[in-house]
Amino acid sequence: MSAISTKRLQKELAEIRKGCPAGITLLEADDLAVWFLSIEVLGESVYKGEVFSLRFKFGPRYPIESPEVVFVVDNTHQAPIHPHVYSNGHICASILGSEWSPVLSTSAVCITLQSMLASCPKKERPTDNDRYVRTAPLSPKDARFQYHDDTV
Amino acid sequence: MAELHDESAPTSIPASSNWPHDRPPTLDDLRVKLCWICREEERFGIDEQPNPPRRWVHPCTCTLVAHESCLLKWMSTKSSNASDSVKCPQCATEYTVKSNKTRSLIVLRFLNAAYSTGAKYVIIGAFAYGIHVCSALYGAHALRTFLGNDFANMILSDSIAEWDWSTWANLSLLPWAIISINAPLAARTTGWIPFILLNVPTWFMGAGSGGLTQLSPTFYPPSPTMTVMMIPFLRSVYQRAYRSVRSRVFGFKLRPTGHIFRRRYNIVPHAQIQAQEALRLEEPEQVEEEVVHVSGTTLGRFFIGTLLLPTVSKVMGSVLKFLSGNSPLLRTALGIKPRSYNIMRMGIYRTWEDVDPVWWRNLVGLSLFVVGKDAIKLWYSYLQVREKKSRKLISRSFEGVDLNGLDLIV
Repeated sequence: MSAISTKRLQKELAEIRKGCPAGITLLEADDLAVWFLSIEVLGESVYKGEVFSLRFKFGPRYPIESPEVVFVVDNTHQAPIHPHVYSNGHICASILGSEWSPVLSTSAVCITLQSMLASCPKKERPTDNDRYVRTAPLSPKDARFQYHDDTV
Repeated sequence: MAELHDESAPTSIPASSNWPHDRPPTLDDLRVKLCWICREEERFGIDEQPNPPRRWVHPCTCTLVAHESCLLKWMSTKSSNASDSVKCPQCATEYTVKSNKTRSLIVLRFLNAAYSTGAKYVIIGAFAYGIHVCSALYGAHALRTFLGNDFANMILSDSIAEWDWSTWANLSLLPWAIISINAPLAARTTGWIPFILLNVPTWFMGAGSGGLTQLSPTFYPPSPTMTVMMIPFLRSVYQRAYRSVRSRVFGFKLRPTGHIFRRRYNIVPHAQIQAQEALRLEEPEQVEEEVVHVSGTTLGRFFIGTLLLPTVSKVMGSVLKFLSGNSPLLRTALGIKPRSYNIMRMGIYRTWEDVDPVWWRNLVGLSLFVVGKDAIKLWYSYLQVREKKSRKLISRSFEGVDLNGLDLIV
């Protein structure tokens, strides 16, 4: 961790601890470089009652570089069934790739993903889910996503 | 630092603000500066100025402000090219970057880019030049070998330092001309290629040496130019004749002769080619597409065989000259001058007609060699086919077999 990323993460963490946006809870941030947050869509949506867990990994070049953000998939957690979320938890969202900018933050990413889920009309996996999951790199940051539609 | 602010910024101030001055506020007027990249803040009058002080910038039209160093760092990750513009992620205003681009930096940057692209072409060029030089040297060797030293001395200097550019250019065409004549594809669709490759240099050299190689069809033996020009025609006519003889020997056309079929080249191991050649001798091949199999061995044989043609012609020409010692008829046919003539000349020649026509007997020799070689090849193929057709298995009696197991007519 470089000085700049450590300082910024400490600030962000302090802000999140002070108060999270509604539906978002900090689960764990023992390691400053790896955070877990839970995310829930409030109000009417196809994900009503479902709680998902996000894992943020921050590199030493954060916030110049985007964090690695995935939905946790293990015995107790599932990735949401959504056209932009692969069953291995990888998320195809431009703000986590080419559209990332340091003006975004952990909570901003959470809010964006929350609204991405909230606006989803139908639970569907991405069309290329099987092919992607079979060949996916460990980190979604190494995958080459094509951001095609911003409606859902 | 104030002098770096953009002076052309609009000076209108919203009436609703409680800003008392009639100039627009700048960075220095902010009570709290929060860098949107590193999230560090500097509060006016409370936080101590860092030492050395860090420059703040407000490069866009929204409220975001940032440390200049943070912003430059982020911008450098957004684009590798310094001239690409980066926009504010919030208000999408393009940042304006000013830097000290001295004229020498611009020139050097341009030169560096030019050098990178230039180097590629230099390497390709050097490779091509190497091929060109080798081709020209081989061309000179072929010329000397085929036309004979006496005539070659008239049109070509011994010292390559005296060759002008057109000599180089023409000589380097020669090996390709020879290859194109000998290539199997030359006979049909692309018969004009060897004609041009061979005649361009021949004409140029003829012209460059004061009409030395002028056409004079009434004179026998033919001039060097005539002789060389005849080669592609002879080759084409001969191949036609050879194919018809071959199809007569085998009773079928070994390869389709029309112009319609396409030719495809396949690169395969040599053993496969031998096996297929053997098959081809047995069955008539009536296909639309002819597949020519090429291996390293066939290519090597082709190139060596082709590039040795001038040497072969010289050897055959010498053999003919030797044989003509006892045959005045052969001497006349080959245009060989009496020995006394050459001694009298003492190597001083004015036109090609004075020179011992080595080229003519070389061409005759080469023709004999090709015909002989093809005859042997044909004979070899014929023997192979005949041997295959004559194959019979020898039948044995049932001696030593248990007779109880056989249903015999008693």
